[in-house]
Amino acid sequence: MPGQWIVVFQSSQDLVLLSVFPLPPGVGRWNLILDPTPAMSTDRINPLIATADNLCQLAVLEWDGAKLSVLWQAVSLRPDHSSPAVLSANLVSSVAETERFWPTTGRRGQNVAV
Amino acid sequence: MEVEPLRITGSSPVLGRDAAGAEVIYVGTTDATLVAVGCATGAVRWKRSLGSPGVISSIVSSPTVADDGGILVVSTADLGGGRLQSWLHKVDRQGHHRWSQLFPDGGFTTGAPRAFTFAGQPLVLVRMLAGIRAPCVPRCW
Repeated sequence: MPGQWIVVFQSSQDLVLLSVFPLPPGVGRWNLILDPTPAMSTDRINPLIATADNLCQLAVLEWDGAKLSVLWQAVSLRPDHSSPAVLSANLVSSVAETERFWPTTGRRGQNVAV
Repeated sequence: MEVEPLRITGSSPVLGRDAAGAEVIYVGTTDATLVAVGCATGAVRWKRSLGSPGVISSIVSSPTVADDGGILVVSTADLGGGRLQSWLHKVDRQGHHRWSQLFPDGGFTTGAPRAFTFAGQPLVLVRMLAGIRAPCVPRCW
């Protein structure tokens, strides 16, 4: 199937075609950029939550069981982000549309590498 | 095995287990249907329609599996005029619909939910937007 990607599922017996990509014209939102999925770390007293969106924003929040507190938030130069990840030592990373990597400290929002 | 291909865009399949412990793949389709596929056979176990009547709804992000084995997934309806509206749904691992929660303030997302447990309480985390998407004003950070 030149020019197309297929998504296959390998069962114990066969390869099963689950979906064809891209979808036929007019079906689905083929050009959709998904909103990033929040990331979290529960390896601490209060969970740490990292969020990003496709409107330039990146934030880290803390959940104490009753309310969310914003630890820091920032506006990036690029609108579209990947889903963030909470790394060890509370580092938070996300990729902007420039494909540059932005690890920052979860506590203060300082860039530790660009 | 020949099955009719599902219509999937951004919903990556996620892995869960049925009540017997067998692996199951969950994925959302462009017509807002949550589908469970058995890993051992590749056969569709069940389908659960989560669309809203009278509007075009879709599942574009990945489901997530909660600690109790239930599946949480977001569907989004296109209300026209650039307006979107999302719902968060829970479906148990047998495919039974448990509940649906409308996002407040006309909120929507094309992202995936994240399920977690804190202090013994099952919680779902979703990042939502409200209003019509507007271009951002870039600033240094």
